[in-house]
Amino acid sequence: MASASGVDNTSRRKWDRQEFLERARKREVDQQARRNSSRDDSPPGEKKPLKHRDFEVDLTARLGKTQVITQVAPLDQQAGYFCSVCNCIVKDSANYLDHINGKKHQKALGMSMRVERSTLEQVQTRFETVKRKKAEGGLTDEEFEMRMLKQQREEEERKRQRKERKKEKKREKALEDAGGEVDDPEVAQAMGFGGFGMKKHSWQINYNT
Amino acid sequence: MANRTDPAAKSVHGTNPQNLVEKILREKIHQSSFWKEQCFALTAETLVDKAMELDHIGGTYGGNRKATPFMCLTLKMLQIQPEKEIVVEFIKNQDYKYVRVLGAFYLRLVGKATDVYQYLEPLYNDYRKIRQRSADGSFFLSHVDEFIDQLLTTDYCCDITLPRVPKR
Repeated sequence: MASASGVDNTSRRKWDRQEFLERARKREVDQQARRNSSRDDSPPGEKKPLKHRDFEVDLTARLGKTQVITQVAPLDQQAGYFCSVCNCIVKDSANYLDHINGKKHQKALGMSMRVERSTLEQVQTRFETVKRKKAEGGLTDEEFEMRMLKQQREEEERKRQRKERKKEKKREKALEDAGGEVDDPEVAQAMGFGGFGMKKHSWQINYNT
Repeated sequence: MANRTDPAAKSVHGTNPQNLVEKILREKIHQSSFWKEQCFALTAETLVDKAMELDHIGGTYGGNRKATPFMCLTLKMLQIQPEKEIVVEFIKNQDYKYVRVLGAFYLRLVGKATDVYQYLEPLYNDYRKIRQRSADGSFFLSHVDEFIDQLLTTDYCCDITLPRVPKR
C-alpha cells in the first residue's frame, strides 16, 4: 500500500539497526565468556582426590510414604531420589547411586575422579587403630558402670513422666465428669455424693431424686 | 569413572587387572548395591575397614548370581592395585582371618608363581574355620588351609578362573 512515490507516510515503528547490531554482538561475546568461564571453574590441579563417603546413603527414607505431587512442584518434592547438589531427580535407587558416584556430581563437589594411593605405613597404622578401637570400645569397667547408671536414671525419669501424665489425665477426666461441681459440698450433701455426672447445669431437672 | 581401573596400574598377566574376573561376573559386581554404596572411592586404607567387616567368602549365589561382598572387595583390589607390601601385610595379619583370605586370593590372582608359593604356603598352618557361601545361597563350613589348598591346586575358585602356576 505504499504510495506511488515510494515515500513512507505510515506511522509504523522503526528500529535503529545499528544499535541492535551492536547489542547482538555484545550478547555473543558475553555468552562466549560465560561458556569459557564455566569450563575452567576449578583447574584440575586443585581438585581434591576422590574421597570415600563417610555417611551411609539413605535410600529408604521416603519408603512407604504417601505424598501429593503436582507437575509444578519443586523437584525435591517430586517422586524419586533428589540430588541437591546437582538439583536433579533420579527415579531409581541404582541410578541414584550411579549418579552420586558419577563424574558430574563429584566435579560439583570439587573432587576429581582419581583416588589417592595409600602407602604401606598408612595401611599398617590403619590395622592397628582399628584393632585398638575394637579392643577398647568393648566395655571397660568404668564405662560400663557409667552406662548402667545412665540407663537407670533414664528409666526412672521415664516412669516419673508416665505417672505424671496419668495423674493429669485422671484430673482432667474428673473435672469433665463433675462439670466443675466436684468441690461443691452442698451438692454432695443434697445428692448423697451423687454429684458426679448427675447435675450438669443448674437448670437441669433431676427426675431421680 | 568409578569402574575404571586406576590409570597408574600395571597390567597383570598381559591384561587389564580387572579382566582377570570374567565379563559377566564383573558386570554383576558393578551393578551390585554393595559395590555402588560401599566400594566407591576406596583406598587401600579404607579397604582395610571393609575387609575387617567381612564375615564370609564365596563367589556368586542365588538364582540371580548375586556377588558376595568378598568378590566385590577382590575386584576393588584389582582395580586399585595396591603394592605388594600392602598385600603381604594383609596376608600377615593374624587377627582377622577374612582379611588374610582376601589378601591370599588377590595374591594368587596377580602374583608371580614364586611369590604365590612363598606367601601362601605358610598359610597352610592356619586351621581356623571360615564360612563359605555356596552357589545356592546357603553357608557351609570350611577352613583357611582348605581354601589355600584349593587356591594352589585347582584351576577354579569362587567363580574365577585362576591363572596358571606351575605345579609344586
